[in-house]
Amino acid sequence: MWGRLAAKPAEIGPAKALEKEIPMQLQGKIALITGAG
Amino acid sequence: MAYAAEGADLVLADLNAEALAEVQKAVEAKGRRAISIEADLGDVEAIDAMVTTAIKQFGRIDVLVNNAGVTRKAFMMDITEADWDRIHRVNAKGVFFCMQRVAREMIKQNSGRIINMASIAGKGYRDSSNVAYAGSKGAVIAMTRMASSQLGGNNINVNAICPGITRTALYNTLLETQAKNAGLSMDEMAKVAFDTIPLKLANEPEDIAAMAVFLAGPGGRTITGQSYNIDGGLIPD
Repeated sequence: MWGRLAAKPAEIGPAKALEKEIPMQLQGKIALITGAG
Repeated sequence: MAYAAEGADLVLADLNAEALAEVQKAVEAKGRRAISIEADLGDVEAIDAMVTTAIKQFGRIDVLVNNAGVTRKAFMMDITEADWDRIHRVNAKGVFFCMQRVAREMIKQNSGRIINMASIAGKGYRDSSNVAYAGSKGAVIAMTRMASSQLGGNNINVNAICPGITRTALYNTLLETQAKNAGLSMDEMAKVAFDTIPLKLANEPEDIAAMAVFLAGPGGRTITGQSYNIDGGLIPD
């Protein structure tokens, strides 16, 4: 019933990615912003 | 603020020291480091001093956002030489020398991202504040393209953002002038302006900041020489 490309319902649990914190995109970067006022 | 929320420490530059102090406070409240530099961004000596201070404080500059810009609402035939000089001094000359001076540091680091705030005015949007301003933003787009090709070998990406109608303090001043000229209230004038946008949505500053974060972050790794419109569909280019 389940083809090679389909996932069985039992395999579709809470997405692992949602359990992880999304990393900040600019962590540790130094940014100079003009017209910042 | 979006940069601080995404983990960056900031060097904030502007002519307005009071406004800078407020932004610095808000950035620090997010747990990020920030310094403020009061600078005339049309003055090359001031730009040099700004970069020197930034390097002294933080040791490097990973991202430059050239956001400073000036304009006023005026018909082409009313633009004076003083208007032209004031607009191009900050919007074109200032952007060039900020890029050049910061790129000197980025070349040593062999990495960097430069994001220039252009405008759909630079692509000929007909309701722009004035023709001289449009010329200055066209210069930003052209400089972005050429700088990207010259700095690419140093792992420096150079891109531009072209906002359309955006609810900033500068835009509200322009809208006020337009409303006065048309004999309309600010709300009526805003409706007239926003009805011209295919999505019927004006930008909030956060819409522009989101693109600036993306271009500086991992997703922008292989993007350079581009100028992205954020305009609700005003200019399909």
